[in-house]
Amino acid sequence: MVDSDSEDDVKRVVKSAKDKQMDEVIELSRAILKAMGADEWHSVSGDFDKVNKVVPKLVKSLKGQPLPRSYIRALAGLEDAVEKPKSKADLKKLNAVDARALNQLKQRVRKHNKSYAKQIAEFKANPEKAQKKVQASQQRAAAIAAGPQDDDEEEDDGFTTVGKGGKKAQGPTYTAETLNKHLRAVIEARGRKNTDKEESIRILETLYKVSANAVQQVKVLMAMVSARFDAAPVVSGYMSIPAWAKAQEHLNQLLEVLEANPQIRVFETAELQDEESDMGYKGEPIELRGSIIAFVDRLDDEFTKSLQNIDPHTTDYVDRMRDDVPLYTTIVRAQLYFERASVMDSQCRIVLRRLEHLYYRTDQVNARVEAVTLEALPKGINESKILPSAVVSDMADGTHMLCAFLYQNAEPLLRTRAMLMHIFNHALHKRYYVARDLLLMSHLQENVQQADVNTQVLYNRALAQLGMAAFRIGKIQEAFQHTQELISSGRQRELLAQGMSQQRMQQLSPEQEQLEKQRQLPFHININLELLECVFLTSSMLLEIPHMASANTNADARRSAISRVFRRMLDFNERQVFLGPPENTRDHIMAASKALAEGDWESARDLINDIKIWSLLPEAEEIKKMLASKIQIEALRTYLFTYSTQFESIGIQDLATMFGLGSPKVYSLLARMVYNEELAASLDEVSGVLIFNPANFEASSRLQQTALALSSKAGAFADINERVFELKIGGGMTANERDQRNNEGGQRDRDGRQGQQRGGKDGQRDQRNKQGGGQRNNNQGGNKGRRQNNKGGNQQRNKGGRR
Amino acid sequence: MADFDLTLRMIPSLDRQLVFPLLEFVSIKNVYKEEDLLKAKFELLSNTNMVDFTGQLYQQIHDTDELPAEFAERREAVIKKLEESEQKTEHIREVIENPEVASALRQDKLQNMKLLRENYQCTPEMVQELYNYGQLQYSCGNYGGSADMLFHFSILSTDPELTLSAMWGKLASEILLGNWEVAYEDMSKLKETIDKTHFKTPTEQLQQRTWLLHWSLFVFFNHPKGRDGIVDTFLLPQYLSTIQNACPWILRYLTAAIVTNRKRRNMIKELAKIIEQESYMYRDPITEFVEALYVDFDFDKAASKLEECEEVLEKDFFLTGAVDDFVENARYFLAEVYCRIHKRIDMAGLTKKLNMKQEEGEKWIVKLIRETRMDAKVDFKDNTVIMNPSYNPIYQQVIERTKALVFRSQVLNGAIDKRGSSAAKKGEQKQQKQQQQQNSKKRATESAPIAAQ
Repeated sequence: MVDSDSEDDVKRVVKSAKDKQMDEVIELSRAILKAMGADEWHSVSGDFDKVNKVVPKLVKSLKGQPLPRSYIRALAGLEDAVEKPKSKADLKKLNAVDARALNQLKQRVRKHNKSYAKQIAEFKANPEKAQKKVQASQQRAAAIAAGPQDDDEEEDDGFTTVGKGGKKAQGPTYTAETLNKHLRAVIEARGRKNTDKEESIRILETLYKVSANAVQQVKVLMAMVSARFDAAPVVSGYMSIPAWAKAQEHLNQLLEVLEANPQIRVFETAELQDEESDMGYKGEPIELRGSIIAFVDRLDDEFTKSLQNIDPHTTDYVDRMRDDVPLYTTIVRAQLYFERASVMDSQCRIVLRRLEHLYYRTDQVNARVEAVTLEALPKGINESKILPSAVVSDMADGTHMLCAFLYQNAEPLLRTRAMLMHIFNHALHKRYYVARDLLLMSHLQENVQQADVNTQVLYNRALAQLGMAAFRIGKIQEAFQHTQELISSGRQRELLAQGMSQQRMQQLSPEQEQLEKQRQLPFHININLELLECVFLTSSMLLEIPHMASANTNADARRSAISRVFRRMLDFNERQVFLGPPENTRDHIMAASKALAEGDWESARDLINDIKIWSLLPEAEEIKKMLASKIQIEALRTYLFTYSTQFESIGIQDLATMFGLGSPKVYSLLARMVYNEELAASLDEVSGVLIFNPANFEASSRLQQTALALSSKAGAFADINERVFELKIGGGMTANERDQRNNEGGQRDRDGRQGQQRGGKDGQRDQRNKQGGGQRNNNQGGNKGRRQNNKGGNQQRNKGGRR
Repeated sequence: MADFDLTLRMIPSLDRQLVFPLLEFVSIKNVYKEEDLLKAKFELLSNTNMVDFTGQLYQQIHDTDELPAEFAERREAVIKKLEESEQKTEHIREVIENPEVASALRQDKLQNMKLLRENYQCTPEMVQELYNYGQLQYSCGNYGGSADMLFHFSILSTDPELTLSAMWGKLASEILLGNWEVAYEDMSKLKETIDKTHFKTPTEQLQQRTWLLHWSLFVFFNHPKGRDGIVDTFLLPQYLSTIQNACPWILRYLTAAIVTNRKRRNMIKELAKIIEQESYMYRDPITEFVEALYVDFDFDKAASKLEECEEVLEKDFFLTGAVDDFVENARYFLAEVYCRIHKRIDMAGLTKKLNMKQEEGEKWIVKLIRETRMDAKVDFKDNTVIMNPSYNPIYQQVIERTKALVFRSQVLNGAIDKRGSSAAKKGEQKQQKQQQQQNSKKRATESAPIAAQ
């Protein structure tokens, strides 16, 4: 009898203080009785002390409810045992310690029991009834307002068999009339510690069978879905798959009933209905309280959780992925329901869910998924206004419509997420300009660091995808800029929520690690990090190598590196004593960089083309061609920068054959370099040669170069002296001038430190853009930086100039 | 040549009546079908109150002399309305046109209203009536009247939204009247108001700016100072981003304005960047010319684009008057870039690129050399121009950089001495402390840059 109380307790995971104390008291009382039976008075005495310590606390937290029965029983038992006159023989049987304990106990029990005399007397008078009452009150403990009929009913049922729980006795009475009563009982029992969850589901299933009309069905089904989620055994961090399937089935059932009965509206803020009127329900419009969106959310979250935990390289993962389409169908169905019932808030959330399933896939895949979904949807269902089925064949429009719906109706957070997904999707389809304009016009860079982590992850993902899109259309400068932030942080795994870097693990507390794990994206959504790095390094190579070469003639270029990460890698590579043939992506790019630096464009091209990971990009061949032509151009520029001091003039035709370019192309390249004063030279149209300035080969003399450097340093020195003096007089070179210098230092630090995640990044990028704009007249980056600034400036005035 | 015609794109951002001259122009140039244009004009005006004119158009389209009865009815109605409004506003108009009142009016609008109410029995409703009357007159094509009414209204009204609307109306009226001087002023005022006003949504402000960009074209290309104004205005960050976001085709006008304006030619590099950046959004021969010249350095392409430009410009309502100017200046730009890049230039080749005849071209080049004082000579034997690009020998550079050092140091030294002696008198101890601090600071800053370099 006592056992039935405590067995359930073991399963409980989360306990309130009250429950804990209750458990302890019951446990100890049991121990007392047990030890008493075995005549181990020493341990009885110990337990008695312990239990008396806990009881006052329990009394306080019970707030007037009766103490657990087992405690009273233990007290009563003790009293009986100690008061019972013991024969000498009995006493002799006990060892010395126990005998002494028994003696002491006698005194204490007598004294203690005085305060519980009433309960003990009651118990002794009617042990059975007392037990039942205690149990009933326990069941009620968590309930907010248990109706009086619960107790009455139990008694009416002639419920006397103690210990098997009241539920069994209820069995035969399930009818549509009493459905509400039972349903409420189940709902109230939900989450309580000794509720048998499987049992509740069984009850609900029976209730579903007897339910008289749609309203009752809906009610039962809603309880059922939540019960399913509760009952699901948690295996290795996620809901077991069969349980998940069951929950989904019930949810679909629920949606089916709702589809068949459009007059029923379910939403969170509905008025509670008078339950007794259910029976007389004749199909008039009715509002029920409940949250379908919460079910869908939960279902989807559990799906994601399972994918996070299954090893992506097993067939299990693939099997699990098969559930994606049915889940998507459920989501679409729920969306249609919300549209019909016009629950705006839920509509936005569900559309976002839907978008989350779509945005990372290509249109072709999505169109296929949509077609399957459309078939799976029951016939005669209402047409979606947000996304009419006619659009489905062209999912670029479809995605746009979903996003547009959210832009118009959703709250800012959802809007931001929708926007980011839209950007991601555009970028995925190579619509770089559209994606970029959307990003710039949304002004997300300015306030993304205030967003929650998941949104930031999404932002980073969008940025990475944008970088790849730029790369795919041959916009090297842009590709570099977009990816640079992510890569140079060295924490791209965390930033994209795709696993954790090893060396960081130690610093994380278990809680942080847990959080980080929850955030991880399922494998099939991941952006390939190696590809991302490859894109970044290739872009860096094409920008940095000519830049490094130009340092030969241009002193400014020496100081600033475009990509520090790339330079570090190159330095490291050059320091190696022995270099084997390139194996991984990075080796290939490093080797290509060295070839490029020498103007050997053919081997650079071959090395880049050998990289295997390009095959992951949809149009690998085109990209290789594009890269080859970029390499030719950059090789030419690098060659001219590097060897310009050795030439007096170069034939354009020769250059053209050397680098496999057409001579008009070479001509235009040279013209651009001359015009932008990258080369001190001029073209001779008549004889078709590039003539270098005499100053150019003068600069080749070491002495002259040093003299030039010295003179400029002396000038700088004088400048600084003057400035220091001004500072002394006027209280300083203006304060902001000093600030500016500090800031610059700060920026540079931060660049290396990698610590700052998204916070200071934008500032950094702006800074770099400005630099870029200054140095490279022909680059796009400067333009973009300015554009950003322009738009930023505009925003200051009007708080965001979105169209 | 309908490909490059911007009329369609511009119409949404213009007022009905402002579109009319555009359509007229297009019909002269035969870009579109005559019939379509007539219909378009009819559609355009059928919502205005210019009943007589609409009637004429109707006759033209349907080739009849008869007019449906509705025209007569509408005519009646309009005239009636006009008379009504005129009566309603009679009192206030008299009051305002009274010189005494005009001189009594101040900056403060509330004060003015009070004054009018107390002394002349004018109610806010009457002011409102002014607006309606102005609008009605505008709608009937009586721009002079509408300009007056709306001007008075915008002075008196306290409602910012209606004032803005009245300002737009006034600007349109002045444009249609051809009062460029006044229109120019109105436009600046409007621009100021738009920049200052706090709009509910950013979209609204963008919309207003877009309109202003379009409407201002009328003024800029007709006002004598417009060429400078357009460059300065359109390159302002807020308008530049409006162009980029909402109406990239305005780039044509910006480009044309910069090319034809020699005073603003240093803007061309900036322009080239913008054009390159927006090339995915908008391109036409005019922007392509700049792109070919400053981004690709493809002179042949630039030359062929220049030819196309002439044609496109001929058919552009705003730029038709600037064709010769544009071509002349474009040649000038082309030649300038060409000369900067080359050391030896084949005259025949250059003249060909400039779309000129041999002799004329040579003259033109010689003139250019003389005007710009380029260091260049013509070699008659080979028929080439030889440029002498100036370059700085390193000796020269070193000398230049170090020349001023001594002087600067002396000045500094003197200043320190002077300061030191004057300060010494005041408080020696304090000074010393500071000096020490300064010195250590100085040392720190001196060592820093050297390390950095």
